[in-house]
Amino acid sequence: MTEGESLDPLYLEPSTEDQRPAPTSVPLAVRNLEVEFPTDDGIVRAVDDVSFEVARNEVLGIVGESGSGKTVMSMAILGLLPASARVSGQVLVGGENVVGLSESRMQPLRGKRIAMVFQDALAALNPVHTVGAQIAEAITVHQPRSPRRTRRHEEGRQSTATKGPLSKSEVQDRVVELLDIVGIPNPGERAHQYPHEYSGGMRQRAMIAMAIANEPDVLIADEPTTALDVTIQAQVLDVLQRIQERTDSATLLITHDLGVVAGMARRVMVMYAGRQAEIGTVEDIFYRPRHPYTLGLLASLARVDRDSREERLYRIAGQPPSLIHVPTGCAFHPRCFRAERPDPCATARPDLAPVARDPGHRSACHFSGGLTDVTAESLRAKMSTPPSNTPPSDSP
Amino acid sequence: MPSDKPVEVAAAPTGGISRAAGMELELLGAPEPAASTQWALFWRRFLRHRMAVISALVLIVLFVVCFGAQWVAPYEKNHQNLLIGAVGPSGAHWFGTDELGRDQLTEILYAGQISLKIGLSVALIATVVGTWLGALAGFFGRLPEQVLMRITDLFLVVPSIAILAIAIKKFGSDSTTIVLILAALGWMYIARVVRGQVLSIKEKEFVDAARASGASSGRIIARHILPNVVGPILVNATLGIAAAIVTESTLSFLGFGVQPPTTSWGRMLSDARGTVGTNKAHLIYFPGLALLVTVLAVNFIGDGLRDAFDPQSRR
Repeated sequence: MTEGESLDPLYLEPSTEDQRPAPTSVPLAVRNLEVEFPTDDGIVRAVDDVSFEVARNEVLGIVGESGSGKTVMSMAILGLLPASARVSGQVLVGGENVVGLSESRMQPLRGKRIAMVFQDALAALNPVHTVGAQIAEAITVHQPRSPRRTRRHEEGRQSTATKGPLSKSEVQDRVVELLDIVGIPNPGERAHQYPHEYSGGMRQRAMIAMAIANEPDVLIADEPTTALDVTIQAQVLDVLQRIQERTDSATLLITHDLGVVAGMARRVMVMYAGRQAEIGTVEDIFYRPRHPYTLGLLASLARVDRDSREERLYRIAGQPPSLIHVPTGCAFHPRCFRAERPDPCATARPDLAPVARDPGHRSACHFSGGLTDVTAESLRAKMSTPPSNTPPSDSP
Repeated sequence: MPSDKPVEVAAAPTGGISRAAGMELELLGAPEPAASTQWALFWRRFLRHRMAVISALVLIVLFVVCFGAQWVAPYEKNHQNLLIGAVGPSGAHWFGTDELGRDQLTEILYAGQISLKIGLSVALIATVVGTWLGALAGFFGRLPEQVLMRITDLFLVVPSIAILAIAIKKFGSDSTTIVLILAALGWMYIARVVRGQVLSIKEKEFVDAARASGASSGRIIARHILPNVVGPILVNATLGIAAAIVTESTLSFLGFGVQPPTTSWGRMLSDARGTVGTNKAHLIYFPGLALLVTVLAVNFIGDGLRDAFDPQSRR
């Protein structure tokens, strides 16, 4: 579509680069996002009618099992899905819908307004370039009309510090500053090292430095700590939190670790089979869950203050569904302790409906109102306190 | 690559390794001045490949004497001594002389300039063209890939010697034309290798990460994918040098190559046809030997590079 000329003057689209959206608009709003992949076996609906918003300086935790659509959703937000994916709905970045945006218009947004921290930093850093060079690249690709970087650095001696773009040494200074911000010791020297010379935690810090290089409005952290051991996890989360406070970005924290979410997020969205099961504040989700799946997740948390030899871990019955043959009605009903089959659970898909008295708390369960008496405790006998702010480990 | 190895290297930069790494920088124009462990590791593996190191030395010597023939050669180019005619090796003429009394060592050195130049240029052009076509095909997939790879197949199935002979008849046989035609018929192998490599590398997460930070496709190919394919490209480029030298010799032998007074090793072999079994057989042995040594050396270097670039190699 050729933009501009075909626009109806009455139909105002909140887009095009020059019209920056009003500052009041939310950094990230997702509306009815659906992602489908046609495969030989059928259509995989990886993300199914997901809507949410993230405000400035807010962390939204997204929780769900593997295959619940968390990563596909973040890729859809960045427009990084393979061409075979069918995406519908809206992803509003600062009010501008980026779904279906051409590659050339999406590219300036990536890394500049939406940035992503990948799960496996070793895989996400290019082994043949130094860490510093990769962070520098994240900066220079967004330089206004950056002069073509000379292939050989030694040729680049002639000063490029004439016009708008940062000079080489300014970029280098920024790289060192960023590495320092994320807590890499000796950033000046470390910038010249390769990813394999970094430890796991440092690599993840470097990834974070790369993601925040341009102070993005929206930061997506896709399981940023999953590949790390527990003590390093705590450190990296700490860095992420400091960065988030510093840059005021709207952060999407994707994880399957409820402890991580409890420590960092203000709001939580629970996903199941590509759908939203429940969304609400951390307190809503952890103290007043109104979805059997959330309850199940909470009940199955391992607790260090419990003796697991005396107490078996709770487990949710059954297996996560295939995304090709999602159960009819509520996707969770075959595994649900509360479901009434066939009506309504196996026939009608529950709406994500508001939960009484908790503003912003919504649950996609036919019986969300009737779950007040069920707690993670009652699911898992003899649970004395709700699994609140205690991560399942000894992290602070 | 185990993470403990490189540290060890960095901690003990022996003179040999750092000097070698410096040489590599000059040779390849490697971007990072602080190229430390990756290249050091690569060089350590390469230096352990004895035949490759010897071959590299032999090639360097060969290059120096051929391109320095002006100063090194015992006689002037085309210096004739009709009085002695064709004689075998002697103290005055190490490799003997031909019917016109031209010193064969001198001839071989000057002919080597042409042969080596053709080999290198063909490999260079074929590598650049093949790398880019292969990378584009592999990276973009779908229609571009189909088109590019079918063109590649087309070039692979044509009988190259016949095409070469016809093309040379049509476009003339100066060395530039020969280089261009040989390159046009030699880029497909590298294109295929690079395509395959790119297909696997483009699925790596760092490509996604680069894209997520706003890099364009061109930048991703040039900065993120190709540097990871340098190994196979270099290995194939060296094999390309050998193949080009041999093909040029074949052409010359068949009479389609460079024309007198320009001469190449293949041309010398061609001129010496019919001396086999006579007392002038040295005319065919020495150019043949030069050819053999060069091609062998280049192939050994290719082997060495392959082992050095292979992270699994534990030699």
